[in-house]
Amino acid sequence: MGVIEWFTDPANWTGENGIPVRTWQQIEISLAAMALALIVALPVALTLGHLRKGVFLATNIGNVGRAVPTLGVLTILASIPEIGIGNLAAILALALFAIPPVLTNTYTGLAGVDDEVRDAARGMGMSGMGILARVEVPLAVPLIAAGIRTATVQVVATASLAALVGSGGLGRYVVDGFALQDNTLIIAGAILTAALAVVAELVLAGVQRWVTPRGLREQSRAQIEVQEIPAATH
Amino acid sequence: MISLQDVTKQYPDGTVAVHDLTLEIDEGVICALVGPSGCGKTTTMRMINRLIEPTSGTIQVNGDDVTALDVQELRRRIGYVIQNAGLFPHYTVRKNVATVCRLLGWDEPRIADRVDEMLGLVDLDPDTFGDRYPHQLSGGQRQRVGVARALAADPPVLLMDEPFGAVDPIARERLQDEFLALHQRVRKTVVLVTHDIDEAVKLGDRIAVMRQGGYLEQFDRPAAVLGFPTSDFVADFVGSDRAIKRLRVSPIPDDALGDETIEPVPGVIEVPVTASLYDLLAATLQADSGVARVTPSGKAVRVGDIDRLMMASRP
Repeated sequence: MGVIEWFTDPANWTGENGIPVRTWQQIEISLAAMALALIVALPVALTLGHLRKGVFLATNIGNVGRAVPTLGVLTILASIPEIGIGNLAAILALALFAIPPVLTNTYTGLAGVDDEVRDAARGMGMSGMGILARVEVPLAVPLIAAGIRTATVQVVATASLAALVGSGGLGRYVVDGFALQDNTLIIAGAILTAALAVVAELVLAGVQRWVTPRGLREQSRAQIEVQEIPAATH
Repeated sequence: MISLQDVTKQYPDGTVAVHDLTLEIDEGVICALVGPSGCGKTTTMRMINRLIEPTSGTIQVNGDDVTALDVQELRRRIGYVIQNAGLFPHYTVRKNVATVCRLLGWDEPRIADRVDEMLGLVDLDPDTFGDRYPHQLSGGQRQRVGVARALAADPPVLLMDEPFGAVDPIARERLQDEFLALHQRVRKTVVLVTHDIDEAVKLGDRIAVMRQGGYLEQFDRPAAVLGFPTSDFVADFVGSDRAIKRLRVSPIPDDALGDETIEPVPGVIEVPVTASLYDLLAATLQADSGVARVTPSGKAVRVGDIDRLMMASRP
C-alpha cells in the first residue's frame, strides 16, 4: 500500500490505532512534558534573572542540555522500576530535554532588561515582585516565548521516541512499521510527526506575537527600519 | 528639607565613595551636586532615596529619617529622573507618567486628569503624544516624559541624575530653560547631579562641588563658588573662565552704578536692571559708542566699569 492510499484509507482515521487518537496522544505527552519543564525551569530562571545571579548555571545548563542524548535518558528512565515503561518515562525524558532552552532564554531575557529601566522602576518605589511582573517579564517576553516555542517544537518532534518505551503517540506507526517491515507505516508516522511539529511552530509563532507587548513589537520593527537606512546611504 | 549629617558610604572592598558629608538643602531650592567622575555625587543622591544605603550618618527628608520609613513609600514620595529617562519601553507615554500614581492606588479618572496636566506642564500635547511609545519620541521628548513621570504624584523632592546629559547641546539648553521655568511653578526641592559646571551654575541655587573620594569641597551659591573658590581644586574645576561664568549669575548692582546718566540714543544699547552683568558686558562691547544704558534709571556703563561692578555684586 502506498503512502497516499494509507492516508486516504478511512480505517486509519478511526479506532485505537487511528490518526486522531495517535496524534492526540502525541500532543498529550508533549503538553505534559512541557508543563513539567515550565514548572521546573520558569521559577528558577525568573529568580536567577531577577537577582542577576547564576549566569554560569543558566548559560551552561543550555549547553549540557544539548549534549544529553534523549534516547539514552529515555532508556535509562524506562529501566528504573519505579518509572517503568510507558508515558511517564517519556514525559520525564522530554521534560529534561525541554528545560535548557526555556531556562536559558528566560534568564537571558530578564538579564537583558536595560539597567536604567530597572533602576527607574526601583527608584519610583516598585517592589521586587512588581518590577518582575510589570517590567522585567513583559520586556523579556519575546525571548521567553521564543525559548518555550523552540522547546515545544523539539518536544513534539521528539515525542515519537516515546513509542520505543511502549507508550502511544505517532511514534507507534514508526516503531510498528519497523516491526512489521512496513515502509508505508514508517513514512506515514514520520510525515505525521513532522506535520505536527510544523503546526506547533506556526501556532506558537502566533502566540509569541500575541503575548509580545505592543510597544516592543513596534520597536523591533522600527529598529529594523533604522538599520536599513545606513545601508541605503552607502 | 533634605539634611545629610556626617554621611559616609564605604563599600565592602574598602572604597570610600562618600566621606563624612554634611549638607543642608532648604525647601524649594535646586541643589546641584557637581564634580568629576568618582567624586561620589551620584552615590550621595542615591542615598537620599535609599537606592544605596549609607554606611554611617543620617539622612532626613522633611524631618523624617529615611531609614525609619518604608523604602517603597519613601521612593514614591521622591521624584526620580535619570539620564536616559529610563522610560518603560512597553508602556505608552500616558502609562509611563501614571506609574507612581498607580503605585499609590489613585483612582483612574484622577490619574487620567493628572497625566494630561503633567504632559501639558512639560509642553507635550497629551492628544499627540499620550499614546505613543518611548521609541517613537526624540531624546528631548523622552526626557520631558521622564520629568512628567517624576512629578506626577506631586512629590516634594525631586532627584535628577544627569537629566539632560544624553541630549544634544541645543536641546539641552532648551530643556534647562524649560526646567527652570517649570521649577518656578512647582517649587520642588531638587537635588541635581551633573558633571557639567555650566549646568550646575545655570540650574543650581546652591552648588556642592565634590572631589574624588567623596569629599565636599565647597557648598555655596553659584556666584560665590565662581567668585571665591575655597580651594585650588574648586578653582581648577570651575575653570579658568570662571570670571566670565560668574558674570552670568551676577545681578547688576543698581546702587553701585555711577552717577552719569545717558539719553536713549542710537548706538547705545539698553539693558534692563534685572539682567545679569554678563548681558551688560555684552551690551557695552557691542555698542559702537562703548556705552550701555541701564533701564529704567538711565545710568551709563562702560566696559571698564564691569570689573568694579562685579566686585560690588559680591554674593
